[in-house]
Amino acid sequence: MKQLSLMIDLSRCIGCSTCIVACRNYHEIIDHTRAMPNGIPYYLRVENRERGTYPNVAVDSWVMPCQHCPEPKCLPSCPEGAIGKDAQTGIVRIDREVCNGCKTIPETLAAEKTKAAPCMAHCPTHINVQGYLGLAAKGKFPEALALIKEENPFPAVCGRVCYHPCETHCNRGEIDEAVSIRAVHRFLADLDGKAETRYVPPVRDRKAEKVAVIGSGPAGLTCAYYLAREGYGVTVYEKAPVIGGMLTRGIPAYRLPRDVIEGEIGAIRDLGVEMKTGVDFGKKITVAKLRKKRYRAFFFAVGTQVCKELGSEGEGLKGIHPAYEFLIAVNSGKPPVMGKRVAVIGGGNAAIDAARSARRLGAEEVFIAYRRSLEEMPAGEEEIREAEDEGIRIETLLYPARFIGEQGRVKAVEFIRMRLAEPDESGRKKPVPVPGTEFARPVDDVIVSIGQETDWSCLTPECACTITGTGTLRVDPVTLQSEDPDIFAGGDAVTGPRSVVEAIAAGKRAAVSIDRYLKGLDLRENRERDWTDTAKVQKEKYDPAKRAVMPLRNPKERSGTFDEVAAGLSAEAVMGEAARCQSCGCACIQSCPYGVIQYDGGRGYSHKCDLCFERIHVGDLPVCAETCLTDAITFGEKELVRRKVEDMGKEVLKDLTRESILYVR
Amino acid sequence: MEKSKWIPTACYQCKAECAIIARVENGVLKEVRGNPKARGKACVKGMAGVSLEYSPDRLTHPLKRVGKRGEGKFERISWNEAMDILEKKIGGLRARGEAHKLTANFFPHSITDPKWRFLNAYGGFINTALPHCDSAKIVGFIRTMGGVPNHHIPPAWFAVPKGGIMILSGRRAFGGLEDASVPRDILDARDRGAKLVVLDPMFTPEAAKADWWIPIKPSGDTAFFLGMIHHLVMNGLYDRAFVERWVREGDFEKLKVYIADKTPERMAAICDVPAGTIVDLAEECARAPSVGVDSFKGIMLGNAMDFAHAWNIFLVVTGNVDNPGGQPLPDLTPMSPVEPVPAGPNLHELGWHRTGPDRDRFAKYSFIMEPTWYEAQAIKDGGLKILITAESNPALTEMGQQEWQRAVCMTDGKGEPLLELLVCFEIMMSETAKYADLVLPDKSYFERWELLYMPWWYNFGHGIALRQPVVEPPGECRHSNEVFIELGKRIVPEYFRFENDIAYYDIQLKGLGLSVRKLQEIGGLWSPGTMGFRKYEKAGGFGTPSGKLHLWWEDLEEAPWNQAFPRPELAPEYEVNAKEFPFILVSYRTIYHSGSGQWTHNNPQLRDRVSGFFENPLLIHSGTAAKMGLSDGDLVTLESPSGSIRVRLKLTETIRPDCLGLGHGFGSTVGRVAVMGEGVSNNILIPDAGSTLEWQDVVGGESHVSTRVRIAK
Ligand SMILES: Cc1cc2nc3c(=O)[nH]c(=O)nc-3n(C[C@H](O)[C@H](O)[C@H](O)COP(=O)(O)OP(=O)(O)OC[C@H]3O[C@@H](n4cnc5c(N)ncnc54)[C@H](O)[C@@H]3O)c2cc1C
Repeated sequence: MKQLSLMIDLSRCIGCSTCIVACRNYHEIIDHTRAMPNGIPYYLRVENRERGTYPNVAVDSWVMPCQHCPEPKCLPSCPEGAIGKDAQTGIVRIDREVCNGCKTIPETLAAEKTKAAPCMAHCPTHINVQGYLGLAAKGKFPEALALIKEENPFPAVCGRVCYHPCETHCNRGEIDEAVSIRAVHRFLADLDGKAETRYVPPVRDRKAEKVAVIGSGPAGLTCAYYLAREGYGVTVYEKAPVIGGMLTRGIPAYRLPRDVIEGEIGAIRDLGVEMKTGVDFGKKITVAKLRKKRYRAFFFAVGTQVCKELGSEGEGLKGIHPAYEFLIAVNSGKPPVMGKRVAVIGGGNAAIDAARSARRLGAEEVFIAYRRSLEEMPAGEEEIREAEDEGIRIETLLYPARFIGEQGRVKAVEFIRMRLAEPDESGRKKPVPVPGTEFARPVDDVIVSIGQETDWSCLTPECACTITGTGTLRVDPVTLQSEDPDIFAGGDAVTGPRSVVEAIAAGKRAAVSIDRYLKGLDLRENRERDWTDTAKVQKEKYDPAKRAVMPLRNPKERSGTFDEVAAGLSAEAVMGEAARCQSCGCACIQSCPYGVIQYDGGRGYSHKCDLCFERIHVGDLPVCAETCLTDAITFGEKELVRRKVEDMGKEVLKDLTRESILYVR
Repeated sequence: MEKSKWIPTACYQCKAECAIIARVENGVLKEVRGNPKARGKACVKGMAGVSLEYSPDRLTHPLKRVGKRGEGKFERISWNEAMDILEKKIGGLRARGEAHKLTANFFPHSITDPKWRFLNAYGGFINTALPHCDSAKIVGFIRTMGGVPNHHIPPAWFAVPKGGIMILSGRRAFGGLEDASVPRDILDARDRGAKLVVLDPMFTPEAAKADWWIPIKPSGDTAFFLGMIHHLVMNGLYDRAFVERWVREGDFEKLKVYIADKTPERMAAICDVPAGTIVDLAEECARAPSVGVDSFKGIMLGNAMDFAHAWNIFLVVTGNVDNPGGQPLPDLTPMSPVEPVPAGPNLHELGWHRTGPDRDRFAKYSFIMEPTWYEAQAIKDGGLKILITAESNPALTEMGQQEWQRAVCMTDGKGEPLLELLVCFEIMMSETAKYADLVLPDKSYFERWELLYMPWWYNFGHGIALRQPVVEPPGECRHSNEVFIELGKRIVPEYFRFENDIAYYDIQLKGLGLSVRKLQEIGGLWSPGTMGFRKYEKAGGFGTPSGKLHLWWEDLEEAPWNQAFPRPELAPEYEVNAKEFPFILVSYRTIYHSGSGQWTHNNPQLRDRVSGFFENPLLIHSGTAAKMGLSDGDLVTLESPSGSIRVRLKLTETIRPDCLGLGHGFGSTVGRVAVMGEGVSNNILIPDAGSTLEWQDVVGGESHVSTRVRIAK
């Protein structure tokens, strides 16, 4: 396909904005009689980059129009199909007749609709939630799934176990109930269940550089996925006999069926990622050795594999199991035999999962003892509810003072009651024991789930990077680069135990950094969109449909097996639920990584640069190129423009080379 | 439907008045471009002219004050009533024999301006409506080369040969106020092998594109150039042939004696640039086929005359006078006089400046126009009774603005105002208009006729441009020129026997065989098509009294000090109070704004963050801020010896650690857009030349925008 393009000469662009104003005037996207500063639409904006320190400073300026991407993210995000890429010119255009501004009511909410929707802003992987809900509401399921897969290689996993900040912040929640986003997400992901028909994204040009990923949890695999797509050779080293980290070894199958995980891991393998299990990195295989083998970058995503200990008397007794070790055993199909009465100590996801697993292994009486109150409990609401439905009792403000044993085996727990004092450094209220409230409770087994930490023996002495006071690796929060330039780290290993979706986001972030690092580019440049200012939209007119309820199998039936508890929604229910989305923003505006799409509140459509489609067809230059004060903008067919750049003997600034709009210096 | 058409005219978003074309569709202005016939460009201000044209704040009918001056209360009146008031008051003053107590405060677009004719016929004064800006530059050129320059005469950047050197010394050449094609021409020259050198305390957009940025101490330019002159002269690197042939006898010998101790090392200590850098640039200049120098803010300081002088000497000793890439000299276009030619007020008797304690000494510097702050002084002295402003905003434009605001409200013992009449022509309500007795709705530059004659017009040599109406004015707007012509017909009819402005321009165009109609037909521009280089060769000399170049300014030998050669010291306002006020305030300009007030500040596109300059933070070097425990966005008090403002900090690496940077021209109090955001006027910090800083009058420069300051939290 021919691709028309602009070229901006950095040695000439002075960032004066002349083109911006000329463009506005020509396209008549400004109402001169009413315009006020900082609210006028624009198709171009100036970007500046300052480098260095006084007196060795440099400032580059350039204009940023629509990039007319080869694979435009806006195009598939539009539920109306209003966006197209012109075959003759490669120009991405929005059809004003078709665009309805994502269910807009003209003249209202104009400013809000150009902001990020809260669902997308709060999703650590920034999936275009509004976009896929819009498509799903129309029954365009494969299109909706493609949108999800662009940002997240684990849709089926996240559709089940994600703590869904998107729902927590959903504006609809202020009217009645949040959209059941995760349920829609899961439905879409499950459509891709069959390996034969699964969507595997194309790999860009193969590159010579190799990257090692240590740890095959969601962080590691996500990083591998994005690097493989870029064409790098990636090897994943996993200590355990199975791939997947806590997905396979921690989270039990009744919440996350094994074939679901395997399916998504399979897609990553299909991209050509090499996966080696049973490799305890840091022993035989080390950073030093791989550096010699020309591995150019390392991503440490080793999670938190070591169970913390309570330090209470009697913790060494038989029948006391660290939760994660217990779950590993359960998930590998060799569970320990459980007695009738099981106490679980802790309040996180793992505690709940341990309790529910114990129940499924035959324990009749399972209770969870948590030292704070229900409000402070880190486990998700749904999980707590489901556990309680399965007959698991949750007792709060209790702490195991000591374990009482008999012949080396635990027989009772002596608890002490707690009360909540002033908040501690974590911001949560600090539990303190109430003297004289000790009491003993007879048990057969105890599962201790009070947290995990990282074993850093994988970092051998040649690594210069350092560990923080809390036992995580010290990295730059923006780039995830450690003090060794070629070593990056992310996921639980950097944050402490968190969540799947945050691990995925970290893997993605690391992949971008590693790609830039291997290309010798600035790692920090233009990294982050501002996600803090989100749309606040509460429409007066809305469809009063109730939130769809995820059907769960009946507690009696389900608590005896490890089969999946949640059954999933029907296609019909999914379309209805997706239609409850209020469209806080515009799907295309949400999707654009460059933030170049505008929303016209008055007329109710989105619009953007079309390289002056009408003008160029009669042989005129786009207005920006014609009016550029310093003649810094060249226009033409991408290849010709690129050749012109080379003829000029100028080095193309790679970090600024987008796919279609070129920047030269 | 009427087809859309492009009409050639002239921009007036700033004083550069670039040749543009404007697209009109069904009587509505849609777009602006540079006029290709003039190799022209339109800058962001020019493009945003469409927003100015359709501003909802446009004044549409005459207003008469009903409240107190400054209160901003008006009632609508008819043009007839307004004209009668004007005729009665203005005619009355002349009848009293006090015509010279009228001042019109406007930017003289060209010597063909009918307002100027009115003043000359009437016997009143003209005030530039601007600070002196680069007056020192003009005076310097007149003294040295005898030219009659336009208010800014940048080198012909399009003529710079390969290897030529372009020096911007305190000059934001990419920021407008000069023809909009200047940025392109400088970059073209650089791309064909010329060198761009930027001397500036800030890393400007020009510095970002330069081969060499020299972060000089503000006002160190004189010392820097003297250091270069020393090196060139003492090492025989100057243009010997040129100097021998064209410099007045004896001047070069005197220079040699004077410059002997102005060594690069000594000068380096003053301007805070390493001596090696001074020597390097001097040697590059000696080798280069041409050197062009431009300055603007760099020559708005207290030592401006010294810098103008050093700059001229530098050009002369390197032979860069009226050569391609060097300093062009203007030429005259044979315009026909409009008989009878009025004599104008007797400046010799009345003095260039009628007021101020140093009137006589000041006269030596022969500043062409009065600065705004003299108005305040003149009102207090009883020398100014009627003030007419047109397209100017003295209540906000310049240092001493508060004194101006006070002065126009002053009354005598009987409660009568000292200033009898204040008339303001404006397109939008302004700070000045709020004080006016009559506010008259002017036509915008898209609605009026004007003949622009520049002795030197940047992009096509000396020539003529026509500004013509492209759209109808709103309401009852009348151009100030039309009003002045009608007043002329009423008060001094013998000088206004032509029908209207077009007829007046037709007479002037006769000498060129042109008329307004013909000029229109040939695309609104006329020029001989060449700028002509080394015109002095053909003319056999220069316009100076001796016909040669004057390096030595003998009449300044007996100023309060000897200033016959440039003194290397920093500007006096930067030398005083250094202990108490540790920072040097650098005032800078962006391409988005051309001054204070409505014209650009009330334009939404020029204030919009995407396409303009919204707020005016105080730029501070990040290291300096760190030392002082200050962070980005902190609200601080910025104090000078004479005033203080509250302003927000912006940390940057792009400014000298001993300087603070503030944009010029903010602080509007009227206009729906102009008042938005945090924007402070730096003028408040500048000591009023007429009142608090007595030496301002006599050093031959003015600290328009320069002072020392300190930060208090
Ligand atoms: C029981 C349980 C339930 C959970 N439930 C949820 C939930 O519902 N929702 C949610 O969002 N999150 C949940 N989480 C948290 C989530 O699983 C983790 O936050 C996430 O898996 C972290 O991903 P990661 O890639 O950083 O690390 P991990 O998933 O821990 O993966 C790290 C991998 O590195 C390997 N490794 C370690 N050291 C080495 C070495 N030296 N050499 C080679 N390989 C090594 C480990 O074997 C492991 O496979 C749960 C966690 C647990 C334990």
